[in-house]
Amino acid sequence: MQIGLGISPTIPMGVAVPAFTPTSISGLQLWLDASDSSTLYQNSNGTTAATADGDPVGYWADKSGNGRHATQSDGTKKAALKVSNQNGRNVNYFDGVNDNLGFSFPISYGYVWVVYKFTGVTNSASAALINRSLGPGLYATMNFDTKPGIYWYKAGAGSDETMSLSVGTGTSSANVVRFILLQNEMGISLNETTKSTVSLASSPVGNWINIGSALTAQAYQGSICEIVVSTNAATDSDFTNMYLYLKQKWGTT
Amino acid sequence: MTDWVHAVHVICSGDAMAGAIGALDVAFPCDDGAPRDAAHPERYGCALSADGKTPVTHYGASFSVTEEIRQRLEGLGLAQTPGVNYWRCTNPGGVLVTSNQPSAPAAGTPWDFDASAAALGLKRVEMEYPGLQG
Repeated sequence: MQIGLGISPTIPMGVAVPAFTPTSISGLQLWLDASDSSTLYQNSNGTTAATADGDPVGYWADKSGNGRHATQSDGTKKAALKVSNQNGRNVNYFDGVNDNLGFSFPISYGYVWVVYKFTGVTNSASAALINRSLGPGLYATMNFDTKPGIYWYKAGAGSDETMSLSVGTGTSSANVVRFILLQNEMGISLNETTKSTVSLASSPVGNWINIGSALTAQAYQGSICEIVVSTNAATDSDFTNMYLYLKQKWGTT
Repeated sequence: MTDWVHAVHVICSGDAMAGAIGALDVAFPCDDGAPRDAAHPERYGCALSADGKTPVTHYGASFSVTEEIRQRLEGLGLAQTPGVNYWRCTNPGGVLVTSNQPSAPAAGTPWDFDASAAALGLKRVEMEYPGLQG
C-alpha cells in the first residue's frame, strides 16, 4: 500500500525515511558527538566512562570509523562533562584556562561543522576552537576573538591569510559554524545565514591537532557539542541537511 | 554523582611553577605516566600579569580532583608553598570551600578561576597570532 497525495514521489506506508546523520555524507573524516554518552571517558585510554555532571573528559571517541579519538592524559587540562546542558543534551565544557583535547588529523583541508556555545567574554586573547600544528609551513586554525569574531587564520612563509566574521561570538545561544578550507579557498558560514569566502594564494598544509588549544594563551572557554569533518566535495544538499540535523538536535539559532 | 568533587584553582608565581608541576606529578600524575615538563610552564597554566602584558609573572590552572587526589595535593603542602595561591571549590557548582588567601571571601561564595586571578590583581596576557592585529 502506498499513500499518494498527487505529488511525486510517493512513500510506501510503513517504510521509515532514513534519518540524516553525518555518516550520510561521503568522505566523513571525523565525528565527535558529546550527546552520545558512549563516546565520553574520564581517562585518556577510554576505559572509565564519563557520565556524571562535572566528570573530566579525557577521551572523546570518533564516531566516523577513522579512529581519530580526541584525548587528554593530563588531568589538569581535561574538559568537563556538563549534563543536559544544551537542548537537553550533554556537552563538553572547556574552561578557558588550559583545557584541550589532542587528536591526530593528518589532513589540512575539508569541510568542518562545529556546534558550540562560546562563553569566553572574559578572555581578551584569541581562543582556538580547533588548532593547528606548530612549526614551519602553512597551517590553518579556526578561532574566536573579541575583535574580529570567528575567523580562519592561515599562515605561512610570507603569505598570511585571514578571514573573519564579526558575528557569532555571542554567549546567548549555541551556534552552528561551517568552515571550509580547500586548496584555493576558505570560507565561513554561521547558522547557514552569514557566508563569506576568500580565495587563497597558496594551498594549506599541516595537521589539525587540538580541540581547544595547547597554547594556554588561546584557550577556548565554552561548550563544544559536536564536530564533523568531511573531505569530499560536499553539495548544497549536504550543507542544508547537515545544518538542519545539527540545528534540530542542539536547538541552535 | 561525580567522584571529582573538588574544583581547584592554582595561580603560581613564575618561580614557584617548577615546584608546583613537580607536586602535580606526584599527587595527580598524567594517565600515561609521562612527567610534565617544568621547563615549559606555559603548557600547564595560562599566562598572567598585572597589566595583561608581557612579561608574564604568574601562571594559572583550573581543574577538578577526587577526594583522594585532594588529600595528596594538600598533603604535599602545595597550599603552603611560597608563591602558590590556592583556592578549592565544589565541583560541580563552583562554591568556595577554602583558600590560602587571607583576603578570600567566606566559604560558600561562588568562585571561579577568573575571580581567583582578579583577587590577585592579575589579567590574562594577550598574545596575538603573528600577522593578525585585528
